[in-house]
Amino acid sequence: MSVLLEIEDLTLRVPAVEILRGISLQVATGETVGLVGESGSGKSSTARAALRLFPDEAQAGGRISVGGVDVLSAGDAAVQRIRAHDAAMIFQAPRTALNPVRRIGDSATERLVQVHGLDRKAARAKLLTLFEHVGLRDPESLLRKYPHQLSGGMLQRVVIAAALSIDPKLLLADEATSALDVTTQAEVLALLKRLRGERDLGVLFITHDLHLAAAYCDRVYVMREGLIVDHQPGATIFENPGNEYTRQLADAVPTLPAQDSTETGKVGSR
Amino acid sequence: MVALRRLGAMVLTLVISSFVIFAGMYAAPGDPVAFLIGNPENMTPERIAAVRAEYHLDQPFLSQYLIWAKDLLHGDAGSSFVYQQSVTDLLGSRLPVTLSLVAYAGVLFVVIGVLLGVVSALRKGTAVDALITGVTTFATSIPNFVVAVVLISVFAVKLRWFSVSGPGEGFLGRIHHLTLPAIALALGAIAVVSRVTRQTMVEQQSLDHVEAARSYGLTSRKTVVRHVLRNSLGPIVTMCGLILAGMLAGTVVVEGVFGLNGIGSLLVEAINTHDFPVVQAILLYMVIAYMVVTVLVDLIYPLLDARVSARSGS
Repeated sequence: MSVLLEIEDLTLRVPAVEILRGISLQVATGETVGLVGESGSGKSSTARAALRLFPDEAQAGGRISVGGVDVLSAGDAAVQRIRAHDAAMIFQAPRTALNPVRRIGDSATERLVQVHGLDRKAARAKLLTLFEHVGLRDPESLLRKYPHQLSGGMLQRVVIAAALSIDPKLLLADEATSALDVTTQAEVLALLKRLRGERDLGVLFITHDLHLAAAYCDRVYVMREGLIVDHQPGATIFENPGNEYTRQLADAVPTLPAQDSTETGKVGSR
Repeated sequence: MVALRRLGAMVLTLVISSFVIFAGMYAAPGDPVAFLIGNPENMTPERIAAVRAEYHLDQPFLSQYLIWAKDLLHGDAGSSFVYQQSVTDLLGSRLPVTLSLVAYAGVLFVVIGVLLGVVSALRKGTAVDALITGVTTFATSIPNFVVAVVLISVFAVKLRWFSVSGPGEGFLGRIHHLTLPAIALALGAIAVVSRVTRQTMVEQQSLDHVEAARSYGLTSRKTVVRHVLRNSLGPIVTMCGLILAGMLAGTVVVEGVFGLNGIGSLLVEAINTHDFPVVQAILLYMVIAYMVVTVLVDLIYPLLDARVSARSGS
């Protein structure tokens, strides 16, 4: 097991706002690491920073290393190599992460064809296999469709398949399964788990769902207001929350009392 | 179904605009008979009656319109009062100059406008961006007859690179002669197109799918071409189409200054000599030209953005 992603004391500020205030975390090969927190806590910014994706005016401090390359000080070509071969990002909103005027097939094979230099046919063949893996039916016809013709869940699976197509070592999954229904979510999570075993895939799993993170991840970091406030093995985070905030997060999930199920049922179902 | 509705709307537009054009001419001051006979000494009652019968001027307004419209459908726009020549022949001989002028200006403003827009979008907030914005804004604010006069005095009179007037002979001669008029015509449009290109591209640059493209290691050149510029084409094509459609009807001044015998100068001439059939035909040509270009843009748009056909189809 070697360290794939290592972030040390990462700070990020855009003029007047301090987004990250000293983040340190690691993801090793074959490991799934959860990053949990409410909206605006800096989860997405942390993942994006790993690929040096932040606005031009942002100032980053600290150190980020992906596969031993210092992302913050590396040249553009080196960063592009990391993005192309080492780490793939699954964006939060699949509908906006795909170019709306291009066909699914073009968008999903773009990295293979335009970045890896595969010919179109080979790229499509590879993608079709992955489409089946992520549970997309009739993958052939999907390639010719446009994003607006597909449901959110289907787009999410397209985006996941496209990210996996480059055989990344590290997957940055930003709410990758949040748009999916429970059954599909379980399927995709199982797929990621399998890949983790087969390819030693390291996953940074970003979610707002502490229960999911606890059940699915080897380790969980809890973020709040640009800081890591807790770090626990997934299995024990509920029994032993290391922080008052973690306990609040855990308690924030409504539980259904046995009686009066009609009232609270509405609140509980999202 | 959509195409049928489109076609119906076009026919309706043509009917209404042809009616308005005809009615406008009918209402114009001056009796056509006076211009047709010319010399006041020939104004005998018999002559007047003969001329009125020949040009259907003795008929009520509506039947005059219907006769005119029916002839138009058969490709006959009447004959010019002044030249005693068929109006369609007259237009046919003047159209090539105007169309080649507009085509030339079109190539200039599309290529230069988009290029400047791309550069200033990619250099947003830098001195280059400010310079492009400043120069193009300045260029739009000068009326095109002033531009034309300045171009003539500098490049034709002082430097003698181009001739002062006339459309030129042969393909290369035509290009050479039309260069200054085309620049004068295109200058204002370059500013508009570059501004639209810049604005749309800047909006596109901040979208998620562009960041996603960057996230998987696409080079910035490919990101710009395949995502930012590609997705900006819809608004750019629309704007270029509208400008081009306007230009087909807006060459009057430039043709006048450069002494080009195109549709624009024919229109001015025809208005001055009360050559009503010619004026009517040119106005109708302008309506049709505008419609053709906008329909072309409407046909191209869904090819650039499939979401549009989905919206209009439902």
